[in-house]
Amino acid sequence: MDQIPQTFIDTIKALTHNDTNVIREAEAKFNTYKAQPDQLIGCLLFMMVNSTDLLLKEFSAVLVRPLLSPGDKNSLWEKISVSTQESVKVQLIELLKADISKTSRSKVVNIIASLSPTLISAGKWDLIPFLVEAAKSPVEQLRESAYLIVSKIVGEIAPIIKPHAVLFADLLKFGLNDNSVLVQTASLSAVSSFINIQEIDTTPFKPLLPLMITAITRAIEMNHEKNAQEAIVVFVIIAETKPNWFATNVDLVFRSFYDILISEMVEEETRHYALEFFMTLAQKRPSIFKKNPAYLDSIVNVLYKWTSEVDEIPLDKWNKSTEDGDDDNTNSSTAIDAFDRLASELPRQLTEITFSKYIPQLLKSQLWTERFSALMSIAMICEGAKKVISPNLQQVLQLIVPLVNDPVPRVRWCLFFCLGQMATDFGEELKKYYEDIFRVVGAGAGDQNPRVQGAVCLLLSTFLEDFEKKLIVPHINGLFTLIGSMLNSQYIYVAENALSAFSSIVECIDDDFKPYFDKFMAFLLDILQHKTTKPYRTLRGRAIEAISLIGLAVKKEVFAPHLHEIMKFISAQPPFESDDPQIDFFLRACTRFCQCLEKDFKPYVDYCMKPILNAIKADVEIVTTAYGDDYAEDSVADSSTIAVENKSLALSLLVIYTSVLGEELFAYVEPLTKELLSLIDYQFNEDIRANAVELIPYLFKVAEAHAKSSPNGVTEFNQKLFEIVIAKLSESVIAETLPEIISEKLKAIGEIVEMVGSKYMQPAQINGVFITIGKVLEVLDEYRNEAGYDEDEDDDDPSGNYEMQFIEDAYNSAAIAVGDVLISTKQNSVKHLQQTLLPDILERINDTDITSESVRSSMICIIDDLIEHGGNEAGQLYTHIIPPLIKLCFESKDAPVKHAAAFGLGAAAQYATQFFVPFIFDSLKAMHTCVYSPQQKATDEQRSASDNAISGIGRILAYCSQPLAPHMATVVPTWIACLPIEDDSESPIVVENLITVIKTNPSAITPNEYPNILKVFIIAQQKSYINADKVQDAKNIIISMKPYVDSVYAQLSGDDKKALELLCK
Amino acid sequence: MTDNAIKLVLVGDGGVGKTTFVKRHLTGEFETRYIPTLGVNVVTLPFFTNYGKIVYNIWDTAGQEKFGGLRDGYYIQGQCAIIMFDVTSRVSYKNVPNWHGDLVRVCEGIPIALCGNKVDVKDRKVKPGQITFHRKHNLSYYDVSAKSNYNFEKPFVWLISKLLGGGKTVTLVEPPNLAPAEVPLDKELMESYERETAIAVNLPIPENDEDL
Repeated sequence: MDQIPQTFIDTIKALTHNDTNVIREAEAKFNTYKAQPDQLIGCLLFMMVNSTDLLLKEFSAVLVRPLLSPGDKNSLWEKISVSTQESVKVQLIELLKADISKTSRSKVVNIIASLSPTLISAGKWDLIPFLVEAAKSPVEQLRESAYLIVSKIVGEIAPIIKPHAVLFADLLKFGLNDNSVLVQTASLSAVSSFINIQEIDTTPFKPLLPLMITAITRAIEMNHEKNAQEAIVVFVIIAETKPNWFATNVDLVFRSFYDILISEMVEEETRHYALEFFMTLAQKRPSIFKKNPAYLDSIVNVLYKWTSEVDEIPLDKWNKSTEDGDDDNTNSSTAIDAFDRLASELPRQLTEITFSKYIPQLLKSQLWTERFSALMSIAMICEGAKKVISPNLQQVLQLIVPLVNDPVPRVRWCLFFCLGQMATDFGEELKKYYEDIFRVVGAGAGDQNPRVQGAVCLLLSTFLEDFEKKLIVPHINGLFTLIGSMLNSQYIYVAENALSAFSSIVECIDDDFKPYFDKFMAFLLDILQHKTTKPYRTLRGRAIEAISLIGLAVKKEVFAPHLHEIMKFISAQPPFESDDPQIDFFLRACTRFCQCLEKDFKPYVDYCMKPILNAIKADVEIVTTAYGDDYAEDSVADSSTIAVENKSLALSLLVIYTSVLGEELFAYVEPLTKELLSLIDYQFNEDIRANAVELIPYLFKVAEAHAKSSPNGVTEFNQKLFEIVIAKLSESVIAETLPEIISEKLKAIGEIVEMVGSKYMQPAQINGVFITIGKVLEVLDEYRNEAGYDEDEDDDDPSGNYEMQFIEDAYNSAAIAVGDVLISTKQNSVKHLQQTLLPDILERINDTDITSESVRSSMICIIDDLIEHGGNEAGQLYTHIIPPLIKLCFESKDAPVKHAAAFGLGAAAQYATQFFVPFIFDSLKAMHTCVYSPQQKATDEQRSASDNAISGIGRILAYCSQPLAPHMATVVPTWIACLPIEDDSESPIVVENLITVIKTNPSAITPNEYPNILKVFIIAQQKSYINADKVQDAKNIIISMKPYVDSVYAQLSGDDKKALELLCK
Repeated sequence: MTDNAIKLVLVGDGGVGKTTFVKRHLTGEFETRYIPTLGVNVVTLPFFTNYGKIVYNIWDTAGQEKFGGLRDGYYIQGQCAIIMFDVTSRVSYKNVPNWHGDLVRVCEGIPIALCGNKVDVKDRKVKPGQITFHRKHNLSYYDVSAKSNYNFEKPFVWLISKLLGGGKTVTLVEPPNLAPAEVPLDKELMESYERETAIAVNLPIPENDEDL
């Protein structure tokens, strides 16, 4: 080591020192060495090869790797001489061959893997032949290294590899057949690298699968468990990236991994890896489990066994903690997690197996851990299997509720945890069984264990969200009594949860809280005034939350006298520390006080707006992170997380302030708009973007309220505001990357246009918005393609693809925005639509391959709006837009598509009749098939499609009676035979058209039609469907049917009689 | 600095809260001013466990490369690691595999805990069900919150039990969020504190004093 200067060695050693300052100095020195790249590389390589100090040896390897990586920012490769470059290559190969430690060898492998791809691609290192040779060497370590390097580099030299797939498959087969477990594992992971190369022909690798599995079992048998685990991870990765690869060998794969899952011989970790493989497979190829229920059953069996392996904890210790220790890698927590994951991939299958075969028995088990496991599994399954379980909720409750009397507190806790989860997942559905829930809560609230009490309170607060007041009123006293003792619990978490449950009750019972006002206000104010130490911060937050909800419940008259005192108290408090949880509670509480006092809140507005404006304007520090060497990303610095959260919160609270205070906030419109227009593109936080976008239309409302005193409600300020906002939103929606927020931005454009477009929108803006939406549709098409990639094609009943749902919602928002422009600017926008978007829309409507039905129905909605609001200008386009609607009415199997198409045809007859004449007969035929297709009324969606077709026929009969005259005697009775319809929005139109049709075609009506006509009018009277100016007509029609009406009068129900009398009065 | 301390490497994207997380322990206060980590900062954290005092040298590494540094050069001799991401930032979770890859390239087979920070934030973006990386690579996962101290000690305790081996159950005998004692504890003084407390417990509660 004499060749290496001692100062260099000292510097390297100093880099590993435990003192930051020493490291920093050494680093600075190390960086100066980079000025002499040949020497630096030479020294590091020399130490790597020759040093006897293990630390120096390995550290040199770690330090030299980035310096030798051509792509690395710190690379010195291009700066060293050609002779040094050559010497590096030779030395690395020699090292690989030498007998060195495993860790040193893997460092060399890593250096070669970093350095070689660039050189191989450039034809500057003929490494592959060496590796092929090395793979057959008699030295085990060299063979392993060769496969490891191959595995690491093939992805980066794909173009060179692809033509030789067969040769490499042979090489891998050779490795998998090696008698060394190390070599087998290395070549196994290389298989995964190969099949992950894009567009490579994977056929030659398929026959390797049985060998790969044998490699795992062999590694286990020979006690190379770490290698076995690595090999299973390779399978997990393949399941994730190329799940189809297992398709032809499913049974072999399942059996092999199942054996590992239940093996007593392997470590717990290894079994967890095997489970992870199944979880990944279930996620990527659920069809495999749907087609083989026995697979799922076997896994579920194991999951229950594992879930019940919960640790016994002394009761007092358990009561003191607020979590369940389920955050480590125990069998129990792994299995619980697995139930959750399986339920979202295989909801139906998992529910059937668990509820038919396991849960009822386990709930009756003598072992508390098994009862616990059954409850826990239900809690985990509910979210994913919501739709499946929902119709059977009552049975589920009957099954589990008796466990409220279980002798073991942890089972009782789990029952409440499970019910709380169900309250979150089922919402309204569970509320039907409120009496059961109240009964269980009653039993649980008296529990001696704070942990159980805490869970009871959590259940109650979730359950009572949006609960119907009249159902809770008889229980108010009981519930307050139950909660009372917990509010005073010495366990702060119980008191916090109880307070939160209390708030939920207050919210629910509203002004029925008045009798309790004095008692509880005193209690809550006492918390604010006296529980001032740090551990009570959240409790204080919950107290102010409760007070503000009480304000909303008891209303201004009762609350206003107290508010001034409360605001005085709040403003006298010292400022919160930036991480104080109370900030959030107090900001929200002030907003509720404003809602309670409405315009009377004015004196406090400036006080409350100050922190909100500060939050919106607060500086956020951004930091840059580089990944790899050519990619960097900015993110929010630690110190600014709270600032970001508060920005988002402030924006959402402003929505409330603006809607309550309206014009009072006009002074804030200009400064806020300026902030908002930059925040709608805020790249570091999507909630800020979404909330800023949502707020813009509210600011517009404030500005409009202020403008109402101006002539025609038009002001220059609002005109300018409209221009700026629409231009900025249009720009922003194109740049937006998240489908959810694309949707929000489109909606905001639509809302603003709907509000003021008729006053301010210029032709250039109409054109601009349409062009923008055209671009957005293209972006959405791309997202759809990406999100639909790699779907399980064998899965007949796929669970929801949330990403896809967001994207499809965005198409719908685009349709609504276009509709809003059409509604506000009427026929003026038709020619712009024709010149910009219309061809794209028709293309998506007519497309038979790519378009999803959801996208198609959104696009038809645009056509519907065009027809409804475009008048005769739109009529001139009927030759283009009506035929596709007729075709879809005939052919589509999708209810929303039929619905929209049928609506469009009816509207076309009504709004530009003369242009519709050529399409009358085809339209009638098409809508007729809609009404009479066999599955037509099976679901709500289908019924509504059918109702729209019936209403559409009505419109044609009412508006095209002249061209249809010779046929009215047959068409009208057929139509009346379909009445009445159930659709609430179309029913009034049907009534109006029925009146017109009867009035203009009295001869087409025979007594056969009387029963349905009478039904329509009775319902119309009951639901106030009849316009005032048509009441007389309706009356006349009833009178014209008098003999019939008299004959059936006696058989009518009381309500119907009453309606009829009212109508004829 | 303690020589027989355990070297723990703390990695993760910039801004996920690594430094804040470590600082939390030292001062018990939440650091509000952001000072980006320059390359690396080494801090010493003691934990008092049922297996005695365990001292970590935590190598808190820079998530932001613009501040330079040796990156994986800091990992050498690391005996265990924590990879941290931010549950409110999807990209910081997406980068976990990169950090993991970098770590195991230098330190093979060391125990690694994965921590999702900022769970106190209401709108978490990385939901518990989406966090599966640890299951594939046998890390232990913990939701943590530097802001509220939630689960602060969990990853450290788990790493100790992994390093001790043999499935030992490690528990803390002293709460972790105390600053390390600068001076040896005065036994007599502590005892007198305890006596005072015992007396206070038996005193009648004064009226109108709800602070107690």
